[in-house]
Amino acid sequence: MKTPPEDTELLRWLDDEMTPLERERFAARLTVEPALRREAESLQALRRTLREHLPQEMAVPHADFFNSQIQVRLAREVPARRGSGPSWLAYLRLPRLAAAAALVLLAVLVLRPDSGVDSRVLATYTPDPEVHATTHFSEAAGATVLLLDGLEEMPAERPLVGFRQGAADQQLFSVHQQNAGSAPPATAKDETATLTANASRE
Amino acid sequence: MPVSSAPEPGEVPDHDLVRRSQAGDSRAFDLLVTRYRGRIYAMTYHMIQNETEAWDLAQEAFIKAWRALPRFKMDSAFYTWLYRIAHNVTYDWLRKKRIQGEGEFDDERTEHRVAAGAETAPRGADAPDEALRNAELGGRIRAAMGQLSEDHRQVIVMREIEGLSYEEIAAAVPCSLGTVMSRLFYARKKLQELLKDTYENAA
Repeated sequence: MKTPPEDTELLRWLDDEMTPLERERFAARLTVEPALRREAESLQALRRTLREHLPQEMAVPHADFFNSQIQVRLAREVPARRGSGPSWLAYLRLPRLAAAAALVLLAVLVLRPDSGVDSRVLATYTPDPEVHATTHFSEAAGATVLLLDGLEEMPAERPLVGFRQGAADQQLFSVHQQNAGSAPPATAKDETATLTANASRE
Repeated sequence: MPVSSAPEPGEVPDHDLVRRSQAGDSRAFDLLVTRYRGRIYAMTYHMIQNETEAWDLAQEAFIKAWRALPRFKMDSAFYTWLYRIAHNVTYDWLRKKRIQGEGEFDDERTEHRVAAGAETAPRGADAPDEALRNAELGGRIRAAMGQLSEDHRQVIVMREIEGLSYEEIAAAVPCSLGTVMSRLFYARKKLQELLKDTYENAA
């Protein structure tokens, strides 16, 4: 439905959508067109009545409860926001980066150049609470082994790059599956990636 | 779009509360809720004409605003942004209701007459008969609003209560300027028809 053309001007005048010149011309029409003036007055009266009885602001019933209910719901959402917000920690949820972060922490805490092979891991931290890190020292490998459980699914053939340490550019870590030697699984989701620290040092 | 009312002297400005809320301070957000709950509730109530559902929708609007706060760049006033969210929440609700086939509103749905302490409540200075007349008139107006289609009620609330311009209404709905004018025209015609005797006698 379209607005009848003869009423468009009245509407724009009522809603203050006219230019000053248009408004002046319309005001002149109102003085000579009684029917138009009556309609304009009627619409103005309707507007006054609506504004008087449909307030822009109303008292919220049980206002304190209104606020407290919102706070209860926010309290449930705050942890989720922390987990998914634009924090730099969000990037560490990526499996490779989470593993890298854990390895860096391990290296900092334990594998200092002056530490011996019997160094112990005092603490581990993973940025993703779904990922659990455990460590043990492997006599056979002569290395500290870090196990990360709960990493996100990724293709088994996806290379996980070890990082190199020092000027000798010596590979410190390499990755293999615990079931090394068997056929590679389709995904690594149910496999625990074992990061083996090559403890050979200069 | 509607602009926020300036905070009273001594009140924390909106943008400070918004920044704190964006940092996860739910107490700061609580202050924003207190500041704007009356206006958001009024808008949802005028659209829904049902106290309980309007209350729920106003809450939902604030919850959605909290979730969206990290993306709010403060390129508009907080209330303008909040109003848009509340409008979308309300209109989505109406759309779902329409799909469910609950039909148009009737007088019985205007269960909420005058909330205690609401601005619609008669002022203490009014004589008893005037207070009664005001309450009756308010009831008739709400009933008339309930008889409008959702689209027509929406433009009346935006124009007459929130004071939005045609362009702002067109952007919020969204629709063309012509549609805004057409809806306003027919909504007013309908209200005139339903209320003419009321407001002309009151004048």
